[in-house]
Amino acid sequence: MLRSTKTSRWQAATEQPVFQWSAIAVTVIVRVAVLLWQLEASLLPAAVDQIIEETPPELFDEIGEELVKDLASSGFTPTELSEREQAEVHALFEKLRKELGLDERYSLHLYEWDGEANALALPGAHIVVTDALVQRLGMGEPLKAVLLHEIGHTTHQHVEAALLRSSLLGLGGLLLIGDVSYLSLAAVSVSTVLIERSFSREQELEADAFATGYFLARHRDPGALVDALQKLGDSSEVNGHSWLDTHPSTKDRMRLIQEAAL
Amino acid sequence: MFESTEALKLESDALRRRVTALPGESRRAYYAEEAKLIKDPDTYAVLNYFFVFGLHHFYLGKFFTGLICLILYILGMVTFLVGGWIIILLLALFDLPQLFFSQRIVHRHNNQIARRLVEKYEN
Repeated sequence: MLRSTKTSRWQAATEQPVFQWSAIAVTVIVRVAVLLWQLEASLLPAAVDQIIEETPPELFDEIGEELVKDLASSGFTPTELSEREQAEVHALFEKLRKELGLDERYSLHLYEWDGEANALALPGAHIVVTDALVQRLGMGEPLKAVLLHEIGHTTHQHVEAALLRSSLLGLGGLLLIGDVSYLSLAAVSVSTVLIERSFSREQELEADAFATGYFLARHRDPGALVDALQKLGDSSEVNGHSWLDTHPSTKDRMRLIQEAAL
Repeated sequence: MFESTEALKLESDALRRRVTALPGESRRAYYAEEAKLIKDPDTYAVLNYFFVFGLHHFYLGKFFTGLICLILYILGMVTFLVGGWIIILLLALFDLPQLFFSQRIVHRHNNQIARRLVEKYEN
C-alpha cells in the first residue's frame, strides 16, 4: 500500500511539465558538457592525428608557402636586419638543420613586425623570426634555443595540428549552429589563427623539451632557453605582444628546463 | 510494435464520448487537467534527435528510461574511442525508430492520459 502510494506520487510528479522540462534542461547541460569535454580531451586530437597521418606533407608545404606570402597582410614587412646579420641567422639555422638531420623543407624567414619580438612556426616547416627577437637575443645560444623551440613545434607537427583543430572547430560550429561566420576559423583568416595561436601547454613544453634535449645530447648547458625566456620576459614588459604571450608561464618553463639539466 | 493510427483514433473517439457524457463541472475540470498533461508529437520528435537522442523520454514522463539513456550516453562518450561508440550506436538504434513513430506514440500517450482522467472524473 505504501509502495503503491509512493509510486503514484512519483508518477504524478513525473507527469508535471515543470518536472519534465527541468529534467530535459539538466540532461541537455550534462550531455553538452560531456560532449565538449570528450571533444577537447580525445575526439578532436584523435581526428587531428588521423588527418595529419592521411594528409600528404606537400599539402602542408603549399599552405605554409601561401601563409608566408600572406604575412604582409598581418603587418609583417621585409626584414631590416643588415645583410651580415641576416647571413649569420641563416647560417645558425642551417647549422642546426644539418646537425638535427632535418631535410631542406625546413626554411627560415626573417621579417620586421612593428618592433615585436616573436618567432612562429608555420605549416610545412616554415619558421618565421622577427628582427626584434634577433636584436634582443643576439646571435648566440639564446637565439639558437628559440629556433630549436620552433623547430620542435614543427617536428612534432603542432602547427598542422593547430590548423586542423581550428578548421574542424569551424566546421563543427557551422554544422551545429549553422553560423557561416565559423567558417572564418577554417579558411579565411588562417594566418591570423596561426599568428594569434596558442599551442597547448603540453605542446609548448614538448617544444621546450626538444630544445633542451638538443643541448643535453651535446653535453651543453640547456640554460640558453632560460636566458632567452628571461630576456624576452624583460622585453615583454615593454611590448604588450610578445613571443611569451602564447606560451605557458615563464617560471614553470624555467623550472622544468632547469630540472631537465640536473 | 505500436497500435495502428486507426485503432488509436477509435480509442480517442470512444474516450471523447465518455468525456462528453461527464457532468458539466467534471467535464470542465477534465479539460483543464487534460490541457496541462497532453503532449505534442512535434515537440516529442524534436526532443528525440536533439543532442544525440533520449530527451523525449522525459517529455513523456518516462524518467527512468531517460536516466538510463543519459547514463549510457555518458558511458558511451567517455569510452567513445575504445568501443563506446557501439553504445552510442545502440542508443541511436533504440531511439531512432521512436522518431518515425512519434505521432502514434504521442497519440497513445495522450489516450492513456485521457483514459485515466475520464476514469478519475467518472468515479
